[in-house]
Amino acid sequence: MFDLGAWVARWLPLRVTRALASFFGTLYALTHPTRVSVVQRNLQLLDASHGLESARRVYREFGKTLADYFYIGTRSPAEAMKIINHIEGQEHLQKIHESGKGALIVTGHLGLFELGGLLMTQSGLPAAVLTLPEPSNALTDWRARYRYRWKADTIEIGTDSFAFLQIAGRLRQGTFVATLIDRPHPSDSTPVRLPNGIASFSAGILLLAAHCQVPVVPATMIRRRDGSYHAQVFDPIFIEERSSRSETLRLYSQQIADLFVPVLAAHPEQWYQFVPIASS
Amino acid sequence: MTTIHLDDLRKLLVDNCMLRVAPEEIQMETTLFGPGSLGLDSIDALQLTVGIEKSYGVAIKDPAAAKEAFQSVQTLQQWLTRQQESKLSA
Repeated sequence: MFDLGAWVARWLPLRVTRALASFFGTLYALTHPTRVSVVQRNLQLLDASHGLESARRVYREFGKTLADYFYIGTRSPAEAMKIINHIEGQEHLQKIHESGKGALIVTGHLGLFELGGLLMTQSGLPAAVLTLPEPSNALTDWRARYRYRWKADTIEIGTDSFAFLQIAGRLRQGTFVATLIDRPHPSDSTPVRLPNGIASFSAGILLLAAHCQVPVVPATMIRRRDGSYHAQVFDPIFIEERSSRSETLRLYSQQIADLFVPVLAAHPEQWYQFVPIASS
Repeated sequence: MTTIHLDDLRKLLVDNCMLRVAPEEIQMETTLFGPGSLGLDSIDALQLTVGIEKSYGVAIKDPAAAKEAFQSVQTLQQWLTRQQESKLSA
C-alpha cells in the first residue's frame, strides 16, 4: 500500500495526487461514519459548532497530506524542502544546537509533522523521531527508512519501560528528538483544557527533558492555501519540576496546549486526531 | 560492605513512583513491573532512575542493565550494592 503510494507520487504531478487522495479521503469519510464521529467529538473540544462536515473535511485534508508525504518521500531532500516556504522561529533551534544541547521537539497530529524531521536535518541538526510501533513491522521499517533518507533516525518506543534511557542518551548527545504529545497513552495521560473541554495528552516525556536538562520546543507544520507549508517553532520551554510529578506534567502540558490551540482553531481541518482524546 | 536496607528501598519507591500499594507491603521479593508486581510504568522507571541518581550518585544509562536491576526489590538492592562498592573501590 505504502509502496503503491510512493510509486504514484513518483510519476504523477502533485496536484493530481492531491486531488485523488482528497477524493479517497472523502470516500473514506462517507463510508466510515463511526470514525467520522470520533473526529467530530475531538474537533468539538475546540469549538462546539464543529459538525460532521468539519470532520469529513479532516479526512479530505488528510488525503492531501498523505499525497504530500509521498511526494516529499520520493524527492531529494533539497527538492522536498521547497514545499516549506515559511519558517518561523528556526533561530531557537540553532541557538540550542550552538549551545551543544539537544532538545525535545513536541508537536501534535497536525499538518505534515513529518516534515519537521526534514527541516531539522537540512538545517544541520541531528534529528530523531519517536514512534510507537506501526500495525506491522514492515510498515515500521518502511517509515524508518523513509525518515532516514533525510538522515532523521527513528526511535521506536514500544512496551519497553526503559526505552527512555535510549532517548535520554540521544538528548544528551545533542540530538533533537521529536515526539507527538496530543494523544493519551494507557500509562501516560495528563488532562489539558481545550476551549470546549478536557483532552488527554501523553506528556510523561516532558519529565525526561527536565532530567536531561534540555529544553522542550513546541512546533507545528501547517499546509497553507497555496499548498506550501508553514513551520512554526515556538520559544523553548525549560521544564522545572514542581512539588509533584502530576503538577509538573499538568502545568507544562497546559502551557504547550495553549500554544497549539490558536493553530488548531485556525486549521481544525489539519488536526488528524483519529482516536478519542476527550478526558473521561 | 555497603548495606542498603529494605526501608531505604521502600522510601526510594514511595518518593519516586506512583505506588498502588502501601509501603509496608513491599518486600524483597516484590517485583516492580508486570502482572502481580508493584505495577510501575515507564514514567515510574524514569523517576526511579532520577531518584537513584540523586540518592546514591549512580546513573543508569543502559536499558539492558536497567531491565536486570529493576526486576524486583531484591535485584535493585543487589545492583545498588554493587554500584556502591565499585564506587568505593574506585
